[in-house]
Amino acid sequence: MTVTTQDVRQALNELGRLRFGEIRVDEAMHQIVETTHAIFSVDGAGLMLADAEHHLRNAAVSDERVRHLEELQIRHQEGPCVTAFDDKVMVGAEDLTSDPRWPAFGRAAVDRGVQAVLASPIPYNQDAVGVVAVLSRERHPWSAEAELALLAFTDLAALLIASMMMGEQQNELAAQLQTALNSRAIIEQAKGVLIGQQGLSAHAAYEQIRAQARAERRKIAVVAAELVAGAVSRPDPAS
Amino acid sequence: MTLLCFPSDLPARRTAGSAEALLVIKVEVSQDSATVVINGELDLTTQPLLIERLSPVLRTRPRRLVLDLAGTSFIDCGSARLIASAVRFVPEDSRVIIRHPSRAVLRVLELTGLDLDCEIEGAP
Repeated sequence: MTVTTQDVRQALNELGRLRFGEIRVDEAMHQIVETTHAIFSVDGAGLMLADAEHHLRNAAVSDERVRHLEELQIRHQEGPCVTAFDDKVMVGAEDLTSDPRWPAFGRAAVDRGVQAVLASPIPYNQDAVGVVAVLSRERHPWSAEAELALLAFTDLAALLIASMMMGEQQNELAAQLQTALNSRAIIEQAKGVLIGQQGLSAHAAYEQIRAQARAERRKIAVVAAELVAGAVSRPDPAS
Repeated sequence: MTLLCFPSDLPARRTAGSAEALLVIKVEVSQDSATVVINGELDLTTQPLLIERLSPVLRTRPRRLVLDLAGTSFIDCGSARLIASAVRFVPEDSRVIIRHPSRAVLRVLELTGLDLDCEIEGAP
């Protein structure tokens, strides 16, 4: 598979009408995903958005395998899309069978027919709100052209999300994203508390908050709010 | 030397006690050199602010334009392209220097071709 600049330009021109059209958000997302799938000639493309628990949930998929990707990443709490979302960088995995970054997820993913993934974080207002990802069922090196193409599609997804969030008609998805953004803000503060108190790295701090939430079966934002409240020693404003 | 310092005036839609991490762009203009320091993340929502800050800098026709990205934690494709088109407005014999980009930011600059028009100083 090769992605050419010309293919991408043409696709973006076609998708450009999404900006102005009277199209529903879920339809627009679906079109982005379908076009991405076609351009990349991959085995699947998906657009995932964070929920309040910071799990990446599929908003639009082009193939069943993307559902496996969603499910396995939530189960194992790791994966290329999770890393792309958490670290806000584009993440490419050309062969999950031998990738040391996500050992548990990688094995399970290969069993389900997902061997290579390229994931790009969707930015919105100084935060990540989700990812755009493509996957292959075979080993697949991702070229610079592919990375650039995915960046371009990510911009389009970001545009769509921004118009949804700033639009007057707030729908359910916009509300879900706003909740996710609010919880992310409090989690960032809690990370800051742990970094200051225990000298942890940002990543280790996040892991600790997430582990505590999981162990206590409570919402990650609630645990984070308690940490922040404890640090400034005032009554618990959680939930 | 004049020193212009703009606080971010972005309309922040994030709520729930988020105090940090908004974009701040500082501009420093001296005789024939300009430095733009970008702290925060450059994405779709910050493009108007980026244009607003870069335009007056470009009007000074600096011989040397430094974009200090040490504090830039994210850049999207559109913002990279915006900077690339801004760079074309500096006089032809001027130098444009991208200073201290992170690995992820540099990758986006490379992919969009901006690195070809600029010097990279302090690559990761």
